[in-house]
Amino acid sequence: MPVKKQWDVVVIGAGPAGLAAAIAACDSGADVCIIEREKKPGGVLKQCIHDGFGLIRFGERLSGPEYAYRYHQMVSERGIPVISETYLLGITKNQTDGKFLLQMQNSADSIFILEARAVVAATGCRERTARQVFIHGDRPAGILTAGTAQYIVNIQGFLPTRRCVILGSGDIGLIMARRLTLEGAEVEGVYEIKPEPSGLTRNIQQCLTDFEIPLHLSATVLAVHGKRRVESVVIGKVDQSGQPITGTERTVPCDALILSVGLIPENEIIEPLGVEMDRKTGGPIVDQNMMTSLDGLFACGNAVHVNDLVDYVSESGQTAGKAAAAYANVQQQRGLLSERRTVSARRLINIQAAGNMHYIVPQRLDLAHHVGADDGADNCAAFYFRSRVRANSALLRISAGKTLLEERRYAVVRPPEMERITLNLADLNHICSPDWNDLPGQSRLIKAELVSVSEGGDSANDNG
Amino acid sequence: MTMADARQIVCIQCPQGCTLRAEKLGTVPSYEITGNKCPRGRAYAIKELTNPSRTLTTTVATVFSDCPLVSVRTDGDIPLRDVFRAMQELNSYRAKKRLHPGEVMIADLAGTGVALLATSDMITPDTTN
Repeated sequence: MPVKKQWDVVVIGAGPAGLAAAIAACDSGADVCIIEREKKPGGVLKQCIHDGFGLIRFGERLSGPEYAYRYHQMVSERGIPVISETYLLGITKNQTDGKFLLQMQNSADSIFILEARAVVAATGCRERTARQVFIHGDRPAGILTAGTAQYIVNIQGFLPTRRCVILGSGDIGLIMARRLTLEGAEVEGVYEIKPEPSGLTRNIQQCLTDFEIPLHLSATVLAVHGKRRVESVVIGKVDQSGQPITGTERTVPCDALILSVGLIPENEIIEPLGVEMDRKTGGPIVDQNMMTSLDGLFACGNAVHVNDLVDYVSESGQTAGKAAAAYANVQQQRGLLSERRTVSARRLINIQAAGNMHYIVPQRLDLAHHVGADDGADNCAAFYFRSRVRANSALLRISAGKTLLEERRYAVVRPPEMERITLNLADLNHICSPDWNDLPGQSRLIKAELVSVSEGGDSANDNG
Repeated sequence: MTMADARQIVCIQCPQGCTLRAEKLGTVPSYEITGNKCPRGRAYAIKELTNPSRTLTTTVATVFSDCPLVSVRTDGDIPLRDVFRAMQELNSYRAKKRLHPGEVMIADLAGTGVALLATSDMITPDTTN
């Protein structure tokens, strides 16, 4: 079936971020479609059969497929087309009319072009692989990422191991330790190179402690052995700098090595457009409307930074969708009314992560445009940040020049646990205009500082 | 250990993962729970001391070739000690009715009195993406 070619908003990816973005764009009056490379919407939620999703958005502890189903229903109710099993080959932006051209490919329509006034990149993230963590030795079958193991068990219905070692204590690895144990496999242990687990504390409890699966901190896999299939791995302890300690090596017989060693935002499709990236998050730099450095290109969800909770992925999608619709609408009106076809320029100020703040998203504020995410809180913008270190008492301070915008105490901050705050931008506009531009360049930024009172030893890995 | 019945518990009710300190007081037990940021933490800590229980999520085979596997979860918690028994029962179970997410597949799972719900969509299935 030939696909309609011109859209206000095209959303790339039908995972939780993309579904929320499309719903919000549609509700704001935009003509929107979603493009998806898989057959069915839902993204990775389809294979995340464990519960704990939707506590914030639905007030219930849903499983991943249920959460995805609810959003899919909302998309269907609105008649938003999901163009599935379709690949995006590349995007270009027409400099004269500001429209985006998306080169698409699928088996029904071969290669075709979609035109969009605004684009939302909801492309999610990928797992870091064995090559990226420099595991040496043989390359037999049986080395797989936790997400692949999850797909094999939960979607295909096969058990990929009888006895395995899990490297990395990321949440998916912990979830898979429990899942494989329930299905009758033996998880010999979970090994984490850092002195502190990288998954959520509650997952350590309900996935490892409940099933008496040992967690070894400051330990890693040094080598893999096996001809056709993994036969054993060599485990060793590491010192404070992550270097293996000689004499601590131990050979563990197993038929699989499962990796849960981090996630990387997937932005290969938008990077050629020259979008500014954040080295810390691995995603594009965005403003509070989730617009990237390129006008009309929005990003949301795990493509921007890796989230702990799907609820916040949906939240950022909603913001991006609503803002994309507003942008497309303005652009359309300008196109009809006059020769000027672009939206008024943004007034961007940078937000600087300082002290122990690992990163903060959004990284910029646009003082000229603000599209509030939720009704009733239109002046507010949501911010997400992570601490670089574990601290038992931390102080967050957000300031513009000499004005303190927000101050908050945290009993505990940990790199694996993302924090969310909202900031009232009405105040900020008051502070920053009209003489903001007269300030020396150095002062024209917002400083988001995290000060620790007591500090642990670990630091977060850069995802870049 | 100075107090035999005092335990440190990580709450699993929400992503906050509060560290709770739970202590059983007296023989007609009352409980002192600290560290929880909400009432669910208190209820969870008491449950942990008396009868630890969990939501079970897994998959079940079906008789439908277009959707051979469906994901399921218990409609609430079942005792932790019953988890493997429930898994055993489900290993030989075949779902014979197409369900929407949230619909009851088994009314009483392994004698726990807790229902098992389908969580993936069997009506418009797709397992090969």
